[in-house]
Amino acid sequence: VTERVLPGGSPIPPATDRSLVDRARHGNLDAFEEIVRARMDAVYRLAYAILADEADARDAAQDTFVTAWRQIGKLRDPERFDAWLQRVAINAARMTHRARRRRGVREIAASRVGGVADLPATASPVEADARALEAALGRLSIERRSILALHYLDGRSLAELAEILDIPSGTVKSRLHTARQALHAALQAESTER
Amino acid sequence: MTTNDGWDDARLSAVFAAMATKVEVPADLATSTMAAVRATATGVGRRRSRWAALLPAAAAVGTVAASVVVAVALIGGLSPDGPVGSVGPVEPAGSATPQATTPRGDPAPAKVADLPRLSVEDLLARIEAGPTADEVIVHGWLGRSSAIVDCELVAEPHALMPHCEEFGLFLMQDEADPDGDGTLRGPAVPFLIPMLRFDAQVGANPLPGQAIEVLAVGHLLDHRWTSCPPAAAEECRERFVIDRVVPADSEIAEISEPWLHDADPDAAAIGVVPVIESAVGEIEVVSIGALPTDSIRLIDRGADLLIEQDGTELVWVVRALTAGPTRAVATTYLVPAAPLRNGDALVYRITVEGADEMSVAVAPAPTRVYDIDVLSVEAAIEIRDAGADDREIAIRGWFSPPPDTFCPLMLATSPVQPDCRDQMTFLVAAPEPGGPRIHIDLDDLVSGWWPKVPGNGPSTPVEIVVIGHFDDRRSTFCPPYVEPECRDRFVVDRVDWVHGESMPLSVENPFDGQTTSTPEQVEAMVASVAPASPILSIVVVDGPIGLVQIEPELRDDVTGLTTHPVIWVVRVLESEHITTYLVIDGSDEFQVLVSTPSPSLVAGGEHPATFSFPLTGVPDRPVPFEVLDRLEALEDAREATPAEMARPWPATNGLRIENLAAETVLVRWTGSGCDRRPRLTIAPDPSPGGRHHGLHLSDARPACDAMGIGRGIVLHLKISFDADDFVGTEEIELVAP
Repeated sequence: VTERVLPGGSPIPPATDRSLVDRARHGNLDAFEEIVRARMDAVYRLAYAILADEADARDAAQDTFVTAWRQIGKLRDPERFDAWLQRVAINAARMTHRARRRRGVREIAASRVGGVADLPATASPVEADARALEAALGRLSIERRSILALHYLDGRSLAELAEILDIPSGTVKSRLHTARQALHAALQAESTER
Repeated sequence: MTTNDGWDDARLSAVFAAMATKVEVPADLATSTMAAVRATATGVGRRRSRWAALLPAAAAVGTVAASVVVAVALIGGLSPDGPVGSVGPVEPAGSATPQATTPRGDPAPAKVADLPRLSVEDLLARIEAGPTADEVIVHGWLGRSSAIVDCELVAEPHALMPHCEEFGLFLMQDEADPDGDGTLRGPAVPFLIPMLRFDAQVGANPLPGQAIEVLAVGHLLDHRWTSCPPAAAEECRERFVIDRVVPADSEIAEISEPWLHDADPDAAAIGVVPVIESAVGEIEVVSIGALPTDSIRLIDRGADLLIEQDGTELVWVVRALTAGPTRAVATTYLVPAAPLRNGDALVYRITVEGADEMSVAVAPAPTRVYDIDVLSVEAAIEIRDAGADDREIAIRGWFSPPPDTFCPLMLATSPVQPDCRDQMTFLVAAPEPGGPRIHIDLDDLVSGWWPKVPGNGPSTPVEIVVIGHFDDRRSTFCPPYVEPECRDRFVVDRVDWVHGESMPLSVENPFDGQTTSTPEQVEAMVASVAPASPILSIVVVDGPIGLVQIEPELRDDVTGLTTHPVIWVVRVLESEHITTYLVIDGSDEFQVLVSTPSPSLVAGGEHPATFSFPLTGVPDRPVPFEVLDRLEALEDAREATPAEMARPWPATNGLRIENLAAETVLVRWTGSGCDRRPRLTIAPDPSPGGRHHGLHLSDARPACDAMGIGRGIVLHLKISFDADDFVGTEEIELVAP
């Protein structure tokens, strides 16, 4: 079996075991817990890439699995569990973002206290890129961040994006194109302002 | 410093991965998540809704002793002996429970958001006092037992008598295990068994063993109780029928969002509410959804026999409040989808006596919008082919979305340059194949009203009225070989009416939640300078890319607009043409886009318009005129008198500036019958390396071949100024026809 890798070389996590999904659909909590433990990292990192906030990502990841447990009985095609879970995660991130905006609260994660200015001057090029990317993503809408994260972080193809986002593939293509353009512009703006 | 260069896919993927992996996934997250999942599964320990405190009725919710079991109308199937549970201590009627007010003759239906909010205990008290049919909102926990019960098949169950399979669904006073103590006695808190069929379940459907905190909108004393078997009449009268249930942290407005049975997820509720309102007047929708005709029997036995359409066709089921003495009592209306599509709508009202048919027609399309006559597609084609300018016109026709097809990537140089999907996007004269049609451009407008495109064929056309224009000024940016095609496209600025329903202002905002300004603020800002000019649409774009994409003339923008991250683009109807206002998000500064490379700042910011007055020119066509003094050098401004206009003018066209006195300058120019809102701006020369203070005369109008009209103003300056020191920019030259 060839391992799928992202353009940057990172491996794409293997698909969730079908039998686990089947057992979870029938109410088996132990099976669901196995899924939670296997997919938590991916869901959390996806949420973080979209929300750029550790507290929000934590809330969104937790809500993702709580919602998934509530809804898994309705999942019609267990083979598509991973895509379905990502859609749940995207929705959870949106809801978290919306709730955060409504409450007007911003939590500062412990790992961020000190700010960007305190990062070591000797940060590697990739770390510097990551900081620039994080700042640039902050300039984009939640929808654009979502599609970019799914594509570049999770390596989702256009067809998979269409399934996850429940939109036609032509729309995916144009939205991804627009999101990339916006990201490039945001990166440019970040670069100019530094 | 990171640059924008070289951000290819591989680098982006690597950096996304680096960004994501630099944050550590909390070690306890999986464990705490599973704790939350388990709490959800058992109904214990779930965090309380943050909205609970906002619910008036919820304030009365208290801890109930575990031994208290209140059950109402439990049915057979749980126990061979019949209903289980005992009526426990409940508050007598007339307690603090708010009552629905039903003043006689009230001109409007009650609002769902204003309906009384009860706890489950309040509702139980109402039942004890004698049920009424008023709609109420009940806050509680919807739980489903995990008990497995052998059920006897009942072929035609009454709508108010739960199927055996449905047993085990509880509306509970507080969160509790729906399985209770495992003895099939129900939850250990006050509860009742609601009527909750699939037509109301969307949004909050607990799995076996789960409980979900909900808001349930419903009623007692459902009219169908009269057809219940006599032995069950009381049970039917007391059944709490849920019209719609949503999670408790939902906005109450979401209750009336259309839902759909699984049978056809592609349908859209276009025109449903207007046809009901055309028959019964204003309604307040409690719930709206669609079911196949074959399933309507489950809601009202007999109603399906009245509906003459294919059994798989949808029927819209609307529960709504109407004006009058029973304004808080909802009525059920059925609207078959097939006749509705064909413009021959039928509405059935379900009453105690049965279903009565109300034949209604979809409200006809308007014949005039914004003082513009609505034309047929054929008439619009005549205008286009006669050489239309970009004057706004309104057209009525039929629209169906283009098929979802793959279009090869095209490097468009103009937003009105059609791609392959645009080539298949028409407004047609009639909902039939063939016939007259025009290409329309609906970009940058909200598309929520579009008919859905089914996966296996074309969608059904919908009748619409649109306002827009041919000969869009951005056609000049199309490649020469497609420029005629660009000019012939009808660029829509507003979709005004769709199948009987007036459309709200289109605000296409991909930055929703991230903008500082709100649509209301932007509308107010534009209205402050153009109070008599309706806003046709708004689109929000980012300055660097989006703005240039839809307004390519700003490609070489020197005003700095494209450096702003978010710009609100507001299309306004002024004197039969579109004027575009560009509002900088989060500021009170905005500019008007004219047919020149430089938008002019007209208001807001530090430089509001200094003087404004009408320019008469010709008596029957005065235009509003504004002077903007960005140098604060101006004492006063007025229109030139006929005597001043009659002074010698060496040139026949263009611009003439001369001193009337040391501090007084006469400015005359050749305007035209197409002038709409000329503005004169005294500002720094915006040209690269500009050294002079300039006089910019501009008007948001297309080139116009109408007869020239002499226009003139007199500027009284605070300082002596030689007219020769004014430097007119190219904009002035554009004014001359």
